[in-house]
Amino acid sequence: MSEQPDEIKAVPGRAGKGLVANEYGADCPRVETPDLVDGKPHWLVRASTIKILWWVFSVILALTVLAQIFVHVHAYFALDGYFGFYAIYGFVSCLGMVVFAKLLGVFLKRPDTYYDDL
Amino acid sequence: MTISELMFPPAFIMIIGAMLLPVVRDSFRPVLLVLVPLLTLLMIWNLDDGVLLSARFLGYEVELVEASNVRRLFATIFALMAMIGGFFAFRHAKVAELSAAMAYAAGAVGVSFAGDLITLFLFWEFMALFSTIVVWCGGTEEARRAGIRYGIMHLIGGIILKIGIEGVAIQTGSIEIQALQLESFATWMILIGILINAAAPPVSAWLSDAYPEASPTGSVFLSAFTTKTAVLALWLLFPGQSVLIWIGLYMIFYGIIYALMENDMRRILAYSIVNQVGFMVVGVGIGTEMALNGVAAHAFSHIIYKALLLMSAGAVMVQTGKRKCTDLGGLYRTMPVTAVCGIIGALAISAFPYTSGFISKSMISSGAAYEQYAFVWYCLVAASAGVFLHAGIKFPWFVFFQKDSGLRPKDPSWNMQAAMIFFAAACVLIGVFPQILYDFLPFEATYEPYTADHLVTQLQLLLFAGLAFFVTLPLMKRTLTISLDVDFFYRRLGPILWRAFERLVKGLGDLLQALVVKPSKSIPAMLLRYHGPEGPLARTWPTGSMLLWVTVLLVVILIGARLL
Repeated sequence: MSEQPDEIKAVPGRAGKGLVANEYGADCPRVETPDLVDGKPHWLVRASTIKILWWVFSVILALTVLAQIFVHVHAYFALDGYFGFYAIYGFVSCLGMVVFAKLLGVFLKRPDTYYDDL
Repeated sequence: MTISELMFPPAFIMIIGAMLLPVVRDSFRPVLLVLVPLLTLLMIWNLDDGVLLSARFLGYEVELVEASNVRRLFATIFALMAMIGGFFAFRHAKVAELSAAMAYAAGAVGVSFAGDLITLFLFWEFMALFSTIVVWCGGTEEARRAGIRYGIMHLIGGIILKIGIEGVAIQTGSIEIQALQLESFATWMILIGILINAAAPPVSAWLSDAYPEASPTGSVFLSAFTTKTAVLALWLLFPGQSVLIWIGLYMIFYGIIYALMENDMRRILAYSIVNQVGFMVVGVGIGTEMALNGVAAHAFSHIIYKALLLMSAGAVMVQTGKRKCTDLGGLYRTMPVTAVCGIIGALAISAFPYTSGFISKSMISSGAAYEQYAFVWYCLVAASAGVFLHAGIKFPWFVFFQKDSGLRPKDPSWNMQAAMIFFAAACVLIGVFPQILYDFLPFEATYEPYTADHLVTQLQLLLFAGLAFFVTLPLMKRTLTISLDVDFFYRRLGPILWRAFERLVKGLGDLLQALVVKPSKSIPAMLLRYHGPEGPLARTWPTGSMLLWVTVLLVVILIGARLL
């Protein structure tokens, strides 16, 4: 919060006056120990909850693939009729895109002040 | 007086509205922001098909209003966007921004009903002008600079379009908007001019450069009009041009890859606009009734969910003042409405079942499948998974979840929440009852999105894409970076070369100074010294001094004579 100028206060609610860009979030509260609520982690971020979420997610994943036993998938081309095609194809192509973006980032990423210091 | 004499372009209602906005009382402004697009909608839906208003202009028969199914559909979503966007913005945006956005939307409606290329061009430039003002209303130095770059890009696009239009007018004598063949220089120029507005390669960078610099409300408006009028223009002028398939595929993957590298939340969404417009460009390239229906439907649902996503990003920005993923996270606790609406938008863009994206995007991929374009179809399916990756999960995850930033902002003001809820509801409603949208499509829609087969395959695809996201999360650690793009050439290399050129010119100047200017100055100075008014060779001498010298001369002569 220290970088926010405090002499100008945001005036939301006054139609049409507009806010100056550096006034956004001028009074946004911030806590120092974000991971703890009343001394305990928020229920959603506890390791036990995350473990349960992974289990639930895995079961759903398995179900979407197993559903193909009961549902006939109409194939347009050579590969898309195979059992679990969409699961494997979706996973592998995403993996490919993430890795490609990572590699491309090595060449293309610059500090975000790159165009400022001209 | 007949109906045709009463006729005027529907865009005029919004132009008048845009002019009224700055002069009405503050309290009346929200009423106007809703009422004007509502009146426009009323007019749009009372237009019969066909050419309704024409006039003579520069010797051409211009058709100011021509209505058809697809034009009405695009105009409807533009007017609706102006209404909900205006309602979202009115308490935070400057009056100038609200007014410019209304005029910008008017331009989009005008393009929708343009029956000829001249009318299209006029409204096209109108949009370029007012969208630049919306970018400038960001109010920062970055926004000012980005606005100038944006304006230049669109003016160049406009010039290219105009060259094409003039060529077509001269060659064919017709300025009618109809399907053109890419067989002359002029039609290629028209295509290029339109594609620049669609953020096609190689100039896709203008979009992610300009839109995220606008105000949190301004980028909501910007996301809707320019690229989608370009899609409509492609739909009307170049259906079935197969070159568009490849351009569109490039845009799709460009958007995904750059969004994956990006840290700024609004720039992630900007890249995903290019991605989504890519799907539409592919659809136009396929050009069958199924694909073209899909393009119209997808443009409609895209405008809603993309505006919704940018609204939730805008709300986060207004409330926190932050826009980078590295600064955000954990906001779901105190901004539940924004988070839920953002997630619905994210699911819709990912074509999750029972959202609007599911029922529209699948028409485009089915269009490819029915035509047996195997390669295109495989690319589109991979891209659908990629959309879930870069927009569907990445945006909500890094903004609302991930590592808690400690920020505890409240949900935004009531009007912002209402606008978000309205669009979120629209995403779900269209998704659950697709017939609402299908009934208004340009061709008879016989598409059934909800088959068991389609549901199972789509869920498999998306959920395993989600698995890939969480498995590769360590690879996606946010960095304080931007990614180089074609804008490097005019934002960095251009200035560097210009400065080098300046130095070169200055060096040459110095050399010239030393070799030519200095000597050329010293010659007159020398002449002046010896021959000027005070020069020894030109000044008037007193008689006494002459006598002295004559005496001296005589003495010398005498002594000389004596000695010799």
